[in-house]
Amino acid sequence: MKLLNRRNVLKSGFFGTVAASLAAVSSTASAQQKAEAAKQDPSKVYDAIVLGAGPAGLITAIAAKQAGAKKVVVFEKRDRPDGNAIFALGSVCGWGTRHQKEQGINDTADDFYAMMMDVSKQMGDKALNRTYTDNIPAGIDWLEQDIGVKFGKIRPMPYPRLGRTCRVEGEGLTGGAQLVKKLLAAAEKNGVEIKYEHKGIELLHDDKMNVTGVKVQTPKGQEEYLSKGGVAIATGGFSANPEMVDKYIGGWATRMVLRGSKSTTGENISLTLPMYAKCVNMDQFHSGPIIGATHVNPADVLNSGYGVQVNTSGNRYMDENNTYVIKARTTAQKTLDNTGYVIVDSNCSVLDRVIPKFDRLNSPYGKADTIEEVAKQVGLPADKIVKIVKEYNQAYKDGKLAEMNPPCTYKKPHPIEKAPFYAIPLQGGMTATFGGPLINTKAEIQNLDGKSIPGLYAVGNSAGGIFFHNYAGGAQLGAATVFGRIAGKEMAERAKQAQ
Amino acid sequence: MKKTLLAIASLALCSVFSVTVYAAAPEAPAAQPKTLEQIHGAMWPKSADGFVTKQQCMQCHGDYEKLAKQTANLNPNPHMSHLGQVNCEDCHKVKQAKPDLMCNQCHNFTIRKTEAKK
Repeated sequence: MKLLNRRNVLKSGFFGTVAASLAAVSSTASAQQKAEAAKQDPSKVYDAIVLGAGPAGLITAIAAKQAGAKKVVVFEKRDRPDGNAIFALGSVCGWGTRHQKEQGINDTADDFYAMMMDVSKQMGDKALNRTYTDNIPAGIDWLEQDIGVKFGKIRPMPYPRLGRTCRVEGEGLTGGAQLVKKLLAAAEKNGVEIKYEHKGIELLHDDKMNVTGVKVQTPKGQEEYLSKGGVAIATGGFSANPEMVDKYIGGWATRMVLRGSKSTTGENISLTLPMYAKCVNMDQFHSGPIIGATHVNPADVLNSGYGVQVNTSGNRYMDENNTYVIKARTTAQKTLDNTGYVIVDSNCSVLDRVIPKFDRLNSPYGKADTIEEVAKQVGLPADKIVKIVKEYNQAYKDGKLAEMNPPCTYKKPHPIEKAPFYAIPLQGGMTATFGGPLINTKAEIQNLDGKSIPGLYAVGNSAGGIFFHNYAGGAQLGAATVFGRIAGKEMAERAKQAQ
Repeated sequence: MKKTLLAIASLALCSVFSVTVYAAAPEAPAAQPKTLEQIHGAMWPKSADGFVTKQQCMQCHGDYEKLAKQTANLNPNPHMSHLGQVNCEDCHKVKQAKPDLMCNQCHNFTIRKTEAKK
């Protein structure tokens, strides 16, 4: 083995650098050559390229077509649409809709905008939330009239519980899956090409950092496609990428159960960072309860205002008077196994809705005539649970629940007294991440110098800036609709100008 | 022609068979159920990249709409899932007679027969 001296180190360093530079030059040259070659191949030149076949991507592609783009393609990395939407109830949050009018719900743009900002603790981008507000009525009409989406009656949704959510009729599927199905049919009708197992791995750009196309990984190898109108990233967020979740949110969050897609792996970040995109709100996400092994959602019990909540060591770990969102997040943060139980009695008003869901999915829970027995059934330390329930009932009688540690601040508390008793499990789950490249009101991605990156768009959960802290039920699909339609029109216009 | 007939025959076999194995039927099957490989024999499509694509299967077995109708008496209906058109091999394994339900990678369903509503 050669001994390293200073000269050798310098030499190897120098030649290493030269070699690396040469490799970089040759790889760049090869990429450019390929791009040139692609230019010669008209089948690989499009007016608009969209990455991701979820609602945001399909809406963008259809809108581009309808705005006059001749050749539009959607590249989907899986062999079918596999984003978060197919797991969703499928609600679109809006105001001024036909549905509101028919149901006698009075609403205004200003009230809607104020709600959007309130839900985001005033931290959502004001211009983007205003754009959402101004464009959602037409967006919902378009989904109904152009795409053929059927909406059911507006029903109250979780916070802020206002009559604004149009629920997609599932017709045997989840509402979100039905929405995707309808959009796929509309995309085909409008002449949008969809290429499956085509994963965007690198954005192509010219020497002025204008995005010119995308390099795609296919089962047959890598291919390069060019776009005159630009590239819209509609790949969703990064909830299914544990490395990114750890980096941007924290290790504890990597132990959360995925409530949605396993395919949302952060291409909105990895593709745009090399373009110096300004990624914002990266630590923000939505959470909800779920059982990892069966994907039952115990949210109704958590929101019912009944019972005490304990960890698997048999200790209370949070104020039970919290929404299911906070309960899910806190369970992941404060318990190493991301698992808690709610001990309720038979008076709990939502059991008739929740227990059948558990039974249908063979999802275990405890049910017994004594607290001791119900604790034993689910493996909780019975003596501790008996003591906690006793203390809770005593504090309830004395009006001192808020003095417990941690306090329990139910507004209308109930004792735990009527057998049979239930132990309902919960785990913290991640619904979607809110962070991503900041867009402007034209859905153009912003760079770190505060300028739009020409030819680069983000739509749906790929885009950053709209949401912070929480979102109004149906606003994710609403934003996909609004900004998808905007991005589609923008790319069509850009393609026309490039002719 | 011969090939087409064979395909139809194996499709018919498979259709009847799949209903039986999907359901949690209380009565035990009389004979050892055949694997997909045994049912298809030489008709098993050549795999591309290590797996058979759903497009290959659907050429003979029909699309998901048709498959969903064939299993409309099962609850939940494994061919009408919110996941959409999953790859057939995600559930139907060549060396197995009984499918592995892809649904149960996340859920824990027991599929039950209901009143036929074809």
